[in-house]
Amino acid sequence: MKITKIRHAPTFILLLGLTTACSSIYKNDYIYADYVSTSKHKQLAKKELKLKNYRGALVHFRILEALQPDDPEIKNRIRITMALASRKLDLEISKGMLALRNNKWDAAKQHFLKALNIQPQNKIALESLRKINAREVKEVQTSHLNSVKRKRIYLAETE
Amino acid sequence: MTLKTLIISLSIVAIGNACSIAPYRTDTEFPRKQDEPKIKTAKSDQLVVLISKPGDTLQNLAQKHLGDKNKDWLIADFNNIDKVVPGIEIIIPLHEYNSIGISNKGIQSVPILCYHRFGDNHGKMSVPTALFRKQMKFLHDNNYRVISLKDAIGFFNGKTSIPKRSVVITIDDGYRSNYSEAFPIFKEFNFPATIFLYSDFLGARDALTSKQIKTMYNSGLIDFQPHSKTHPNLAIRKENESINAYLDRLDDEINTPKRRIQNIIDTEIFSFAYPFGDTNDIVINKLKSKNFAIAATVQPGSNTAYSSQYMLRRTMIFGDHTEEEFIAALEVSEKHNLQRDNK
Repeated sequence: MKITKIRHAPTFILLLGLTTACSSIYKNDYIYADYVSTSKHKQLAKKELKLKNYRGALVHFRILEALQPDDPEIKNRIRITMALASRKLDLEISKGMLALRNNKWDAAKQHFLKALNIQPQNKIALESLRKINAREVKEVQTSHLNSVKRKRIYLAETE
Repeated sequence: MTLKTLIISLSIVAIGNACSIAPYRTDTEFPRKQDEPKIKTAKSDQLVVLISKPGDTLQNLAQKHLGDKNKDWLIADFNNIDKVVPGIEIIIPLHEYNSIGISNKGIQSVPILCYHRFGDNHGKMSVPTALFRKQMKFLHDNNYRVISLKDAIGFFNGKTSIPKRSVVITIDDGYRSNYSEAFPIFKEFNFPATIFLYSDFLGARDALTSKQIKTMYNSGLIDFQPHSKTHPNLAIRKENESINAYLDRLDDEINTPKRRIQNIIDTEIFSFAYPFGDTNDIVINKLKSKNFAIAATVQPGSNTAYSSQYMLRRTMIFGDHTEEEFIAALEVSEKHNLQRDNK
């Protein structure tokens, strides 16, 4: 049994070596480039739009805009993406508010987070999420305080 | 045969490690068109995009394009890199891009650690100095960014981004061991921290002296904020205490430590740590009326940009904490699937 193990040791080290080699090469995921590729960013923008990640798509369109500032097609794409993002934002906010009115806290949270993922500075979404969060923290706090008060009464009575 | 295989295997291990020095791979996912323009750098009012050159570093790119070398983390986080190597595409956003740290992958959260005293023989609330140093070394070696509580306010207000993997360190009460044991370690790692003082403790044998407070504050690493006057549970009214007497007592518990601290050092008071971590709406409204920006409990857990600013969570670190328990307190991201549809 021991002999078999020793015989397999070099194979194990070989596999370990290969794994180390592969993982080391891609450790930082650096991609070599000798210039900023417009076609790459067009493809990435398209990919993000497909996922309805408008903020991500806009980053690539903004890069394209920096690369080709006079291209009307890119400016048009930015306008369309911003309009789509704005429509989705309004939808998520109104769905979130409706969920909040119906005390569906988890659903409301998800809608407001989606809204913030489109527009991180959106005040309605941020404040609504704060209210949901404060409710959760307060629940824990109230239950803790009640137990502290009960303990004090018990100690006073037993003294 | 066995020896030969062994030598080959070890060679591959060596090659593997050597490859980490040359971290390039070519882009096969997005094939390029032959006729596209060969632009190496471009700038708009929104961002800068460039191909890095030899000698470029995160700090000098931050200095050149953002006007502050200390904003190096912004470039690192946006591009998901920890250093610049020549010949990679770097994007530098010129405006606040994600002040609240939300992405499809998850939500940024900031752990606030809460210590009390350091050294041996003081029970659970005291963290042995060697263990504390080990914990700080862990933060340093694992790319956590220890930021001051003041620097985290913008994030808690949802206005400014902070580095991914940010951690805040706080210490309650004001024990002398904060100076003798913890301060040298903060200096060693250049980590900032906030000490919450309860003012009636000052002058006690075990408490920090004014001189020690000044020395720590003047180092630029340690800030001091109030933790009440007498360390009572502010959320509980005393027996037979009228509401007016309770409100007056709250005023005193908040104002006195603020005054005492500002008599020793010239610091801005912006935060409060509730004794025992307990609070209620009356205490919170008092702090708001006195322009406190944030206040902290000891409910364990991390804080997102939408956490309640007057009920921030802090995780207490005890002397008997294992390494696993310490790591568990360092939750810098909440996994949340934003692609999920609501039911």
